[in-house]
Amino acid sequence: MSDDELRRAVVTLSHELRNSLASIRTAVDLLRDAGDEPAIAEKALGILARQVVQLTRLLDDLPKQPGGPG
Amino acid sequence: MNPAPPVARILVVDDNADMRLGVQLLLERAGYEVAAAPSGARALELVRRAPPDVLITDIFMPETDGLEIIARCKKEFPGVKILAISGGGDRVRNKSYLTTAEVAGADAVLPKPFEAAVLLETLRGLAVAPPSR
Repeated sequence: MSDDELRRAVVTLSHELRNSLASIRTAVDLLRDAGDEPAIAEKALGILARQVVQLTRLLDDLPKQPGGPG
Repeated sequence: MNPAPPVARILVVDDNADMRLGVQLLLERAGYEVAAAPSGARALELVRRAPPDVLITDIFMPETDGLEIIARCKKEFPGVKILAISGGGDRVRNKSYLTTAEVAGADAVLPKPFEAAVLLETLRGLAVAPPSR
């Protein structure tokens, strides 16, 4: 991988991570404020569950490093 | 007795469905009237049909990106306030997307992730407060 390809891969990964974190941050704020509104809490939990899958997929797609965790 | 002030209307544009949903719910709970669009093309359609008080737009999106939305919206509807949000990305002529968004006409910018309180404070800074409840 060239330096430029590596730089672009890092930029893309950083963008994807920030987007996932932004959704998670918003869901946490919603949950904190959901009070006695289970429908809001349910939607916030849905966001969290989907973003866990998204983050896991991002990590699974990273190139494996020799000697790194399997 | 004075009539109740009109509810501030906000349009949220983001190609990330969870971000769109989360921000929409947060703002609705704060008292705003909120619409959402998954793409720049849909956003421009909604703006032309009924210009919102504030347009909140992601920057890095396929096809019509946030920078184009900002430029077109400011040209056609200069009264609409624009808040650009972004998780970063590659740079445009060595400037960050958010800096470029300000140059394009965004009234405020927020890097992702951000707290709900910061988002609401930013909207108040744009002189768009939710109606008192």
